[in-house]
Amino acid sequence: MSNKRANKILGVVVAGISMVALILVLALKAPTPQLDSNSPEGTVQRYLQAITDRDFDTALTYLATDSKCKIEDFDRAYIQESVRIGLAETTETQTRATVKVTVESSNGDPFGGNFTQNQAFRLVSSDADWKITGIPWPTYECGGVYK
Amino acid sequence: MSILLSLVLLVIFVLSIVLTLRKITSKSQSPTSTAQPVRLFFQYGLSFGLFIIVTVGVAGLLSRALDTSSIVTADQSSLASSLSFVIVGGPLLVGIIIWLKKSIAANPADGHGFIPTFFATLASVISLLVFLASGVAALRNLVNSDPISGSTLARAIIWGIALVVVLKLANTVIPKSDFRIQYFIGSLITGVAAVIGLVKILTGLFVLVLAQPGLLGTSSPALVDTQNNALHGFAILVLSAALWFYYWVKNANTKTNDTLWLSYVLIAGVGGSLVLALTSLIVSIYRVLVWFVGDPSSDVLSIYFARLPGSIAAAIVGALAWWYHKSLLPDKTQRTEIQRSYEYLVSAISLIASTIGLSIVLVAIIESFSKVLIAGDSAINTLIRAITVMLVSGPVWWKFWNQIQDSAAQSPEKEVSSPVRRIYLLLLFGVGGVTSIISLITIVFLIFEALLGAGLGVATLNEVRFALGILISTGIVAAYHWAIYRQDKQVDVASALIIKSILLVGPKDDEFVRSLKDATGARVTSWISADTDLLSWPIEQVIAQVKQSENSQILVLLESTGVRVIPVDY
Repeated sequence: MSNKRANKILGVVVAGISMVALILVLALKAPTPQLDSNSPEGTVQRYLQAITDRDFDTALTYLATDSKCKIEDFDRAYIQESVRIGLAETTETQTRATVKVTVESSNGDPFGGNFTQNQAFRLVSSDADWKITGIPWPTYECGGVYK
Repeated sequence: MSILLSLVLLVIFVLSIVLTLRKITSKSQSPTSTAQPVRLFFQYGLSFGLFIIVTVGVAGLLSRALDTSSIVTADQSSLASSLSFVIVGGPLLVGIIIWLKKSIAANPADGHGFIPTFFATLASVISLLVFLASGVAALRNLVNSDPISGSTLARAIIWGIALVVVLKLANTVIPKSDFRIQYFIGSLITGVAAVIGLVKILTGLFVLVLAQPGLLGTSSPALVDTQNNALHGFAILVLSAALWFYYWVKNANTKTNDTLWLSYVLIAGVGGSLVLALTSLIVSIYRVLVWFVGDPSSDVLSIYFARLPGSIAAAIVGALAWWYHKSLLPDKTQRTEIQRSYEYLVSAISLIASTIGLSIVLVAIIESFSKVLIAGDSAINTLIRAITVMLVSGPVWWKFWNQIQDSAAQSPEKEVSSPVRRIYLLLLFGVGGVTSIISLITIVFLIFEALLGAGLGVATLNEVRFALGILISTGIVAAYHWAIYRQDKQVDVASALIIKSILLVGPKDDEFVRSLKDATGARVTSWISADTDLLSWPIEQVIAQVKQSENSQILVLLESTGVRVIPVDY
């Protein structure tokens, strides 16, 4: 095959892939859906939204009343500007629930590589809603107690 | 204050060296003087160092001007260093460029050779890398509607200008044939970046499609998403593809019949993309197989398959890059050394992968009855990994090796006498043999260690499993290729085509040289004679006369009276 023909085919294929990807990305990309606020995953979602908005006062309202975490603990936590948190799995009983999430954040390379970590949130049932217990991400230390 | 004092001392030091050298070089020196390479190294090395210093300084100053964020605490030391870089480095750079210009005007050979090419290539590659990285970062911020940091934008602008200046200056001074290497390095850098961009685009697409309701559900639904990753790949692809077009299509790929081009296409193009495609395909199939029949690291579908879209995308892009570079090679119908090199290279890569697979199979077999696993990958996963490697790379090796052996059966004298085949066989035999010996020594050492210690047992078998697996698999490869090599030696190569060396003296005709090489398989050197501009090479006649000649070294002379073929010894 001649060089020109190979270059043309490569150009057409790459442009085709890019166009299809662009159209689908724009068509399928939907805003993050809001989950039921009375469900464990809905509680975790609202807590995480408050965290990424740096609204720590609101974030604290999703924690269990006996939580050791104070607003100063959240002030110390490192939260990246650009982050995607996906729901991996929810296991639920009458009184307890575990919500597993994957946290993807930029690893800082110029080509936009991602660093992924798995985090689990443990919740207890409280009246009609759920509260997060323990030392939840992004904190690793609350009131001198480490995770 | 101390910084300023050091800078003044540095300036005095550099100026004194420059003046001393000018004094030395202004005295008439023959071009062959041994001082010349040292002077050239100093001149070009200094100009390279100053170029980097000044560019960093200017980028630092521009970043201050472009930074729109309100400064709470200004970093005065970085401003001071940028200022000093520009104020001290700028005039010195101008001075050294003027000095270089005068040197080249007095002796044009100063612009040729290794030293100028090395420093110009280094300057252009550094400029390209910084420009590409900061350009991608700036574009990414732009498509995400994020604020672009002043330092990123300044680096992109200044290093982009620096790249253009270096290319322009170097192209006016250094001969094109010398400076050509930087186009290949640039093609490799921008090509890899374009591959990353396309992989990211496809990965984003697969993640998005799989996240749709009703599909496999292998992507976790977002709880929170402040990222705007979907368009990152486009930013990388747009910039790197534009640069790759300049480096590869417009420059490196214009002259396609030399060793540099062939080495790049075969090693970086065909070899590199094949490794990417095969590895990514193996990883993808392995993950799927482990999910269904193995021991997956997570029971959660979205966690386990989080990296699958990326590996599938890399396999597709690798295959596309492999196809592209493969199609640049000459037509398959003409079995030239280039075609051979391609087939043997693919065969070698896939055989090495298959051998690794076989080693892992053997390790897994030994592991299955010698080791009680407490944590980590189980033997079934090891076995799946090995089988996947062999399933993917085995057929590739089988196809290409059969193709090669068919050619050897059809025309043994041509194939067997090929240096590419001999290198291939000897390398595989040699590398396989050396690896086998090292593995054997390791096994014997471990056995003796066990004998002299706690005694032989299942634990010993467990310890020697890797060495044993490697010994058996590489031993088979080495023995097989040694047998082929021995068989090749029995073929009567006396009747094979003797590779001739032809020295052409006549008018310049690249197309004729290529046709002669293809038709005779000879090494052709072409000298242009001054008075033959109006003559043209009679292709058929020359080929016939070369084939008739029994000598291995011949001079072919084109004169107004016709072609003369003279046996020579040069």
